[in-house]
Amino acid sequence: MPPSASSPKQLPPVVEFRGVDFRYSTHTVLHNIHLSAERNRVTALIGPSGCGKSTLLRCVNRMNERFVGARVSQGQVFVKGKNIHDTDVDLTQLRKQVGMVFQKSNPFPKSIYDNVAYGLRIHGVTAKDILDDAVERALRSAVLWQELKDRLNQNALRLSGGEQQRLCIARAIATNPDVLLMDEPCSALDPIATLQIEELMQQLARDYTVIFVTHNMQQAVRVSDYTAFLHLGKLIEFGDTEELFSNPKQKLTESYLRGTFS
Amino acid sequence: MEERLAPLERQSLGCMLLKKKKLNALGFDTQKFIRFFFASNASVTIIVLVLIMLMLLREGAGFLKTYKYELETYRHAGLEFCDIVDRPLAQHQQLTSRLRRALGASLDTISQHARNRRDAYLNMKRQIEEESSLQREALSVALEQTPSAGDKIIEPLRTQLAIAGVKSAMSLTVRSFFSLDEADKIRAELSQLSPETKDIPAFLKQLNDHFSTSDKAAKKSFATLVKATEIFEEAPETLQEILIEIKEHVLQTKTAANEFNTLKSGRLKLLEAAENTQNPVEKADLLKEAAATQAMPVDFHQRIKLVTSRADELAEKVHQYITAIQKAAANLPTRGSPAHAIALLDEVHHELPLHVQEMQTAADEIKTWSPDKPVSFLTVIGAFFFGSNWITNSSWQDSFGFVPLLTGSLIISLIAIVIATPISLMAAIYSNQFASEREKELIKPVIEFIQAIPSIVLGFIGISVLGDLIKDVSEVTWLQWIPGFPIQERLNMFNAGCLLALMAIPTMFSLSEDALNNVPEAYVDASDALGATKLQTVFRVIVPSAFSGMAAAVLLGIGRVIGETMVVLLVAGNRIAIPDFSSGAGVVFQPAHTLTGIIAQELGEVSRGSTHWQALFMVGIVLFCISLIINWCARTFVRRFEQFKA
Amino acid sequence: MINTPIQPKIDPANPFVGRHSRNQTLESFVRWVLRCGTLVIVSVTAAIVLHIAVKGAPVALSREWPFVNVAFLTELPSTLHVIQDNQGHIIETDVNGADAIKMELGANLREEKTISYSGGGILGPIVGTAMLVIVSVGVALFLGVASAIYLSEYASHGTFIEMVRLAILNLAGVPSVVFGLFGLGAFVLTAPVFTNSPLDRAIFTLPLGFTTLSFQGWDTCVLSGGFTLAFVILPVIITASEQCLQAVPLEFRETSMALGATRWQTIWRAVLPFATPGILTSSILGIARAAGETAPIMFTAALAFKDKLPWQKDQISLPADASLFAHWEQNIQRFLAIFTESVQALPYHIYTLAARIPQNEYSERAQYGSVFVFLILVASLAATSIWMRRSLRAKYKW
Repeated sequence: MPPSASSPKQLPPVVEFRGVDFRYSTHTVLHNIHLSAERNRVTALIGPSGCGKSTLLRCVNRMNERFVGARVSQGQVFVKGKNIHDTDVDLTQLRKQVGMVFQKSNPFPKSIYDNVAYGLRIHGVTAKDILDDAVERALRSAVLWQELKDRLNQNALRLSGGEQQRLCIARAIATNPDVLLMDEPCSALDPIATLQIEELMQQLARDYTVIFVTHNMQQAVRVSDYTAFLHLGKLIEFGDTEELFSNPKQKLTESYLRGTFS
Repeated sequence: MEERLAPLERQSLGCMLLKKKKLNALGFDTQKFIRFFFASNASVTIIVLVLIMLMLLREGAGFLKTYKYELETYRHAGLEFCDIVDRPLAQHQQLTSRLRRALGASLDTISQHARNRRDAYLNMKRQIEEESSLQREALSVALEQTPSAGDKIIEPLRTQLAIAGVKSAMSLTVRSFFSLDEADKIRAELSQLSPETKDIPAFLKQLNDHFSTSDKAAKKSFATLVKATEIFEEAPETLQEILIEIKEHVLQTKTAANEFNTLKSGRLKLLEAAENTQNPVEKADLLKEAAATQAMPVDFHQRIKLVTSRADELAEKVHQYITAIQKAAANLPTRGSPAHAIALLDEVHHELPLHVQEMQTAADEIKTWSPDKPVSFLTVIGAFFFGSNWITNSSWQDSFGFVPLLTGSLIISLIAIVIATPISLMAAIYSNQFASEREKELIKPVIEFIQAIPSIVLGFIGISVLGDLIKDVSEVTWLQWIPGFPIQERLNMFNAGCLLALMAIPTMFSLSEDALNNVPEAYVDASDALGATKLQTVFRVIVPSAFSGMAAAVLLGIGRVIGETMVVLLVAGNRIAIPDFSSGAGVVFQPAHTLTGIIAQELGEVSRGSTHWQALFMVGIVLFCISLIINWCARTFVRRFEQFKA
Repeated sequence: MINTPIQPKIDPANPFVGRHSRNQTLESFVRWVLRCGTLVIVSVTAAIVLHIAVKGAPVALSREWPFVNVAFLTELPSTLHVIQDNQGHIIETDVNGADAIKMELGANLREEKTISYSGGGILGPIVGTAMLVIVSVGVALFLGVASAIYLSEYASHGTFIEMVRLAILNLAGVPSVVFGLFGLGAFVLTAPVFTNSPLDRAIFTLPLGFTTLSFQGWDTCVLSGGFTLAFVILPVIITASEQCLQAVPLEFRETSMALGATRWQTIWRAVLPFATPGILTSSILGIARAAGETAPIMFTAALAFKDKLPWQKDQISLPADASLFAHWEQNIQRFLAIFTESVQALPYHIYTLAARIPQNEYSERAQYGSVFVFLILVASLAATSIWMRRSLRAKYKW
């Protein structure tokens, strides 16, 4: 029933959902999701609140599984061509290669430098020059280097909200992941900061595969190449953003876009 | 059926919105009154805190004045004069005891065996006498009461004693000093002990003789050492004679001065009462009584002259003493004695120059000493905060130096913190991050239970169990590398520190667990999303974020430990002296007294308003200030933590 | 569920190969180290409790019905006399028994040992502790709950509130022996009393005509000790009560206020009923704390020895024609007199037994018995509080 991977196939998918059901101990929140995200493209997940878009996003780096009883009960999730639920998959390695940014910016109460270097350090990088290099690269990618290069030892919690969120992005890309997951990254920010982040997301798409969740349809239009619309745990429609917004194939999608329900 | 209800009557708008006049005739607003009532209750905490300060100050502040007076008397009466010589002279005793030990060790090389044999025999004899004491007593009583009475009564008692004697002699373990033949001989002799025979048993006599001959031989072969020790010991005798004379004199002065003061204050009180009373008869009586207590003030000046006039003589004696000990020391042999005796002698040689120098300075000092030097408040404060003696009820001079108590308190707290901090932080991290639900359900109640255990119970555990346990452990052979082992005192700072650690654990645990709990979940999310393992998340994110909270927890734990009374009072050993740090870390196994313990122990026995009483309240003031400072530090830590949490 | 330990396969197709084994060994090692820390705490506590139970239970409990040593719990402490006759028989008795036995033995008496405070039971200390607890918890609950209501319901931010909170924090950190000094200075030596003959030491007297209000102190008595203890536990009670009040949802208050209730009506009807169980629960912990403190009562209330219960007192019998009023007055005075007496207290009794008399097997028995009973009392209080909190948490969830 759901209109699955109907996207053009120039590039192999980096993330692929094959008929995924997801359960929180008693009730199923995702039903039979088929979805694939292309390399170096931005994919947006939209839908009314509680539709399971965050859950879907968190399936990619298995963040959901920290809760007791939460699991993928059916189907497979493939990242870089590997089923991430295979027994030989190391969770820490998976998460190293699938970065994530959260709704509320959550820098550690450490210095800016330590925040960005954290990911590398936990993966065993100790050499000062490599760290310096990586921190600079990450901050440059997050368009923070110019602002912050002189105060890398300042506590990250002193930054403004937008800066904090970009710092979190920098932290996530410092380990050079393939995929970047963003869970409503702008919802707690003011319009100017939002704009900055949106620009950043488009730039990031050059190097990373970005999947993000948003409740703001305009944002999806502005930023994403592909959009998936979820409703009540089902993938209703997935396709090219322009196409989906200008010419939705499903009635449900249409009424959602028109604002009949939200 | 349907009957419409009449519409509810509504008050007019004006009537509703206008504030009702709640003021009654007295201008009394109930709501305000209630608010005021609660506010005044809340202010009780502030009032109590202020009252604590006031009460401590009221009882303690007078200390400076009275102690100043005491120190003044100490100087004017000339006690200080005597102490100038007396204090360094105390060193002589330590040197002598070293010499004696060296002498003993030297003599032992020859006579130890004989002495051990004799002592072992005497010990066994005592043991047997104890075991058959019932029968022995019965026999001696019977003998006393009926000296010539027939054997009818005495005989059975005799046989009973003999039976008991034989029984215990047979069960006797004879130490390896004796050969098997000798052991039999001893058993035979000891089984026949009886209060009727006055003779010394033959074998004991033999042992005694043997010992005295070998002792004589030993003394002969170490004649120089014996002689030098004797000279050394007798060296200060003439000096002390003079000193004692002077001491008696100055003590009389002091007593007289104190008596005069008591009379004076009593007289002043009587006069005041006389002033206040209306009854003329009573007034006359009081005045008469006051007049009766009229006393002459002590003429310090006159009396001290007698002391200062003897300064030269005393200095001369000091010099004589110095030459005497130097001569004795020069004659000490450097060879021929066992190694540890030589070591002791070396120590004496080593410390002697310092002692000589101190005595020399003392001799110079007494010549220039003057009783008229004023005692400033600074001196009094210094004498309290930096004084190294806390001596009370002394016949010579009380002194209230705070340092021994403070060191005791600090060392004990340090021990407790060193033990409690890692354990409670480990437990907090474990139960917060790793423990299963079931484990948590065990840990939390246990911690709450520890918090509820009264300190007196823990103190009791320290006296009854832990002291012996530590002492037994300290005697284990393969643990002798630990400094301070084997320990001398059952009740010591380490013992108290262990128990206080247990008391500090609940505070530290709960507060640091709270701190860990308050770390935002978002940090964990971020760390997990970057692929951190559980350990990395815990030790690189959670613990550092909770660090200031945990530091505050440790600080409040310290506060709890420093302020704890009953455990240290019962367990710390209550020896008022600065611990001897020469044994390194082994210092923790020495007894000490504490700030809290001294108050609890001594306050009940002193009279209100005395210097001692005031000194104890001064200690209370210091404790109060310490607790305030610790609280302030902890608050600062927590504030810094909260600043970054927002 | 996740991360089942496996041998790292060399799989070029797997981009997520990890260093499982090392990380896991490290983690389980650290986990065990931390668990050991926790185990130390638990096992030391268990060892202490077990030791006291093993040594104390034989004294305080008995094998036959009613399974407790009734004499130990219902007699006053007394001096224990241990008499040995010439045949080596040992008899333990109290002072009266000792006289009788000595008479009987006559010349057969070998020796008599007396061990202070170690005979009889511990009723006196138990009663004393109970009275101290009643006074202190009464005072502390009144002040504490009222303060908490002010802090939680009335207070807005301000200097006064800041000061109150600071005072509570600092009060909680004051060493108990300093509270003892405070109690001595404030209640024993200064607190006001109505008397007709003020003492010299009163710092201030206020003649009222029929009597005089004299600030001369209450002497060492239950009241002094109880009030001192009240301030020791006051911070605990305030903090706990405030937490309970804050736990009542804001909507309750808003609903009540929206219906036009005054602030006080709101507190009385919409807040307090829901907070009271919690407040009472946490006050039980206050009781345990007050019962366990020794230093504050050492100079304010406790006696080492007393051969009477507080209410056993000689009283002057009134003349037969005394008015009803006179009887009333006497009864009231007798009741009040209970609280103006010094008492024995359980913790102080243990201190006396453990530190102030020579130690031997007989005193040890009395010590362990008292400690056992004391620990049982305190532990059951703590357990009740924990259990009640659990059940409350299950019951009130909003």
